[in-house]
Amino acid sequence: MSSPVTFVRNQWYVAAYGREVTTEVLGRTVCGEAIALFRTASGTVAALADRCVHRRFPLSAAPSHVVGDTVVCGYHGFTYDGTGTCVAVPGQSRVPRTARVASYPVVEQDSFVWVFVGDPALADATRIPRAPWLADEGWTTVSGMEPLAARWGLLVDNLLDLSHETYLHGGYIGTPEVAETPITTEVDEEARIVRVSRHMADAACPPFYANSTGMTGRITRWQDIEYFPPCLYTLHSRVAPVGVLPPAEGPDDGAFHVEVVYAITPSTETSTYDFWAVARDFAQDDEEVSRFLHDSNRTVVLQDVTALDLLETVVAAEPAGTQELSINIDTGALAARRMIAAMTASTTTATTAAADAATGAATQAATSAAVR
Amino acid sequence: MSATFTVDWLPGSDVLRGRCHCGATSSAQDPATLLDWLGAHPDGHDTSGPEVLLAPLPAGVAGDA
Repeated sequence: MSSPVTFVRNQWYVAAYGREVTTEVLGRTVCGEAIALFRTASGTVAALADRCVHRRFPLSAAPSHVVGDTVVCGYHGFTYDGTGTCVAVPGQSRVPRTARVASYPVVEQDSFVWVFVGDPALADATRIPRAPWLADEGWTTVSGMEPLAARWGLLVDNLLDLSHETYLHGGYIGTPEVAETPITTEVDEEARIVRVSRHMADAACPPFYANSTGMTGRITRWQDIEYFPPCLYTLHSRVAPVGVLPPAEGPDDGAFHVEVVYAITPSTETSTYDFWAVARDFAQDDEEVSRFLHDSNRTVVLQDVTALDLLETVVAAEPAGTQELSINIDTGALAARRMIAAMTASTTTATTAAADAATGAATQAATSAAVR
Repeated sequence: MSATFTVDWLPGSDVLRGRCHCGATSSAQDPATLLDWLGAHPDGHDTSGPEVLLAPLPAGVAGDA
């Protein structure tokens, strides 16, 4: 069997787009935890454990439904407010004190609904990485989500090494120059960011950019990745006619800018939500360009989905510790893996320390009680 | 002190050059080896000496920037 898949807990993850969360309850599984998402009458998003405390019926399954600021279990009518507190049970006036479900810290930001998976006391909203282009004026965005039947690490590998564009995405975003151009990798261990840059001075213009910008000749193409493990990936893409570089001062208006954003959300050990978005600063009101970029990027994502779903079946069948071969193009992905491993280890250590402290406190309390 | 390090793939070669936040540099042709060295800071990071070669470089490739 392959190596076990681990989740990084005590982190923020994208559970949905804001537009997906309505007064119809939405069920999503994040890091193995089933979550029911709904929008209350006051407009805020609630995220609750997706199991009624009574007989475990999913709160996201019909006929469970939202009433005002509460969700009513579709099995026996247990009713919960946005904090997970049960406010009504059928047939009796007394609601048991233990009748509540866990709630998740939620932040709606940059078009995403972020949930914190882990100890809620550690949820610091200022640690959520930003993708402002997805909601800012001055940018037009197309987006979607494709489910992957593959472990989340495979998508991290995929996105950190864009040389695969040449082979897997030829005819869309791949050209020979992507795989041929050396990369620079920068790792900020303190801020927990992995950056990978590939600057192509003279490259063919792939259809993705030719058809959206109208450029017909060769281009200068820059790809600057910033990955904020575990969940958010941004690719700052700059394309311009060959030789057109950013001016020393002032706006870079000789180029076209595209911000490609992925939220990589582990669902189960072998499934992942692949949220994708493409924001542009040109042809902003052109519906045809929007439609083209949406359909092209979705096609590219689905090419990845097909490849990674296949890869999952291969990896899952291999013995743990099966050797891979890494070369220069893999530097960013290897750096990301190491950062994720360190984050996982530190979370495990913190959890163990907290458990030890709790055990110690319990032991001390028991000892004190015995002495008394 | 910033905890940032960089790995540059030297144009026209297969060589990767790593630069630690402490200023020490090293070169290798294998990213895993180089990341091991960078992650081991400060072990083996001597900024007063020459660049560390983690593996022999091909002929004609300079060992120092």
